[in-house]
Amino acid sequence: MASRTRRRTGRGLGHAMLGPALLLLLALIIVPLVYSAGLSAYSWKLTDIDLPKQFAGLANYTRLLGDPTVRTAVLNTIVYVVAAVGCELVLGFVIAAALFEMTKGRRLANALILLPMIIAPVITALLWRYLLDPQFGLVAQVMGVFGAPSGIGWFGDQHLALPALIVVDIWQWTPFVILILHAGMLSIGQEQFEAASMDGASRLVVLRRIMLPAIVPQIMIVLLFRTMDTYRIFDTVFVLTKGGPGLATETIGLYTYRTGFSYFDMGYAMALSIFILVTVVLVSSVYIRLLRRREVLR
Amino acid sequence: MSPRRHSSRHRLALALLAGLTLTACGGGGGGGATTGQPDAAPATPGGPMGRFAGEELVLSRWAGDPWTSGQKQAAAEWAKATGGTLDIDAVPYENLHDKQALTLTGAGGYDLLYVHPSWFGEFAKAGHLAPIDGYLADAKRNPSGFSADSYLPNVLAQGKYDGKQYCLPDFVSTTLLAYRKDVFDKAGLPAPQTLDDVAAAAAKLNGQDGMAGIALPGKRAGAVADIMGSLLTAQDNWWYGPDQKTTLDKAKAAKAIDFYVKAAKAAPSGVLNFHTDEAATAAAQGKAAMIISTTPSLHALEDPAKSATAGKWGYAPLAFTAGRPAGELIYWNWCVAAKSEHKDAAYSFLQWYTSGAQQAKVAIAAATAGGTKDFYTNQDVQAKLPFLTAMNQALTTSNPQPSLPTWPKAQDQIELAVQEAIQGKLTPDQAADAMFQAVQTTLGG
Repeated sequence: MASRTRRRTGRGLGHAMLGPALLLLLALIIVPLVYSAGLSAYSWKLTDIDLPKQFAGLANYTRLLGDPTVRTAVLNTIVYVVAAVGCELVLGFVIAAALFEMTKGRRLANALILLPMIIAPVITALLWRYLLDPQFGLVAQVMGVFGAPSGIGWFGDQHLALPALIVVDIWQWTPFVILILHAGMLSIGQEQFEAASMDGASRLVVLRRIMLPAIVPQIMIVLLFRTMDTYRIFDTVFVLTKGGPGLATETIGLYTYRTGFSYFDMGYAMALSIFILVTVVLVSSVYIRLLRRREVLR
Repeated sequence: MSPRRHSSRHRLALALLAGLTLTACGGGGGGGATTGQPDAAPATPGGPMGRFAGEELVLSRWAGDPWTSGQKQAAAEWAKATGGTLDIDAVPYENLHDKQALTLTGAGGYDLLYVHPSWFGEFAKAGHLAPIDGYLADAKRNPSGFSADSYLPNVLAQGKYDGKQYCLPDFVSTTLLAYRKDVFDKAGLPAPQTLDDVAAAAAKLNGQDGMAGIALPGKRAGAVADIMGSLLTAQDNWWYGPDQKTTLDKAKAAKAIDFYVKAAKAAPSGVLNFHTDEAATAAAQGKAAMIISTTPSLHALEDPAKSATAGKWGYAPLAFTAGRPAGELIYWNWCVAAKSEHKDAAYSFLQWYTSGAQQAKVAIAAATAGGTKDFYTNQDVQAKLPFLTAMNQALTTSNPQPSLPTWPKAQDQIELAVQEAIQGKLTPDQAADAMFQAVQTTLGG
């Protein structure tokens, strides 16, 4: 009886302690989300702030499906996500494995590698803007020295702008992948490597048969976070190209911002936001399902 | 509840939470009533009119140097000369409209305001601003010879609403052409008179001595539309008429786009990602023989600390036909609040602050020009800003930046059409058509 009472008291205390966090979550995420979802059912512009909102039902969503700029923006975003996350994963794994093998200077290398990640994205964008400046940038100067064609307008060329943005993302976020994968590698039991060594396994075999399978959960976490992050990319694109030239680097996040805060079309912007949210949740749930299946198998 | 159901629900909750977390985005009063002597002569020659001992003014403006610090200095001088005080309430630009609107619809609290053209009509219509025609016409409230005629007529007219003058202008800028006199001399080319001359010279000079023919903005950031507006004005055309319905002439738009495309072909690599500062940097560092940009950015060409080509530039207004210059009128409006209890003192500051002599002080640092005629004949300013004569010519035929709430969307579509023409995705005629559709859809007509 006494233990049941204690359990009840404990549960009540637990709920009470969770309360403030839940209230914050409700106020900062759930309420704005519900408000946004509600607003997406209205045709409402900030320029008509004094006029009553016109109920539009699903009109903003049907407009979204027929909007050619949305199609371009989604396609650009998918290319961006696949290329950036893919390269970050491969590069991150290779560098993390190299770090794992290092016996001296690992801490210093770790610290240096993490530097790009701690720089604010806007600063990163400005840094790359100057690095890749076609007239005065370091890259143009170095290319000129080696006789390569300098003066390439990376961000001003419709074919190069998106790849250049992807390079910026890879530079900034590969360290995140390295950090997670390296931590995963460090958690592998030493006895597995010793056993492999006794069996005469080559480094490649160790990498493929021991390290890679052992860090699959970390890889899934990296994929989950980086996919969600790159899917919502805004700041770097806004600073470097503003979606141009033409629509060459227009991403869905940037188009949503433009619709809301340049065109003041808030109803449609909210529909775009909800579209982003739903697609992010769908992709995330696939990753989480894969992650859980892996855990069950283990 | 089965473990399987629990698991799917848990998964969904986890996914939703992860998605939600990662997608979450993030004046004081004016004191007592007027007690001053608004007719009192300036305490010192060139000083502000009147004595306003004990009167406390509050001015609302956006925060940004060198303008804010320049205005603070002017406020201190005005206070010393008149006995009043002037506090400056400077807030970030993005919050300014809302703060002003809330303050003015409430109990008031501001005496003077910076009013952006895009909300000038809104404030004038709502009765938030006080007409100043009487002050401007009253010889006793102005220094000798100063009146409405002292201002550039086209610029002063922008502060008029429903036949009444509400605001006085300052910090004027426009779009201009700058060309390297030494390069033109060396190539045996005369100074360009028309935009056809500019296009021909750009094509000829492009690639010579490691220089592009011309630098100009190509990024979708506002300046492309400013230049397109000037190119339309140069053909007596404009985006819309007084009824705010589009008046865009497709043939004239196509001619303007055709010029833009020709210029972009002779521009430095990456021009589609150039805003005014990138274009000016390229020109200042000797990477372009000409530049079309806004006047504040052209100021960098003449600054020896920033420019390797200072002193080598000539300036001309944009013109398709020689002798018919055009530009775009970019300006600031200063107005007296209708609820101010210190309108006499507020006008005293406004008149003095927008006069040519005061404007000259900030103009050299900020490269923006004044709204009065005498500013453009000031020899000291001329020496520092050699484009003043060309600017004055451009301002004789210029339209203000559109101040319609729907304009930002139209502007974006206009700039997109220009970019697509430069990229070769659209012909100038097709781009003009796309531009017309965009302007018609967003503005109506």
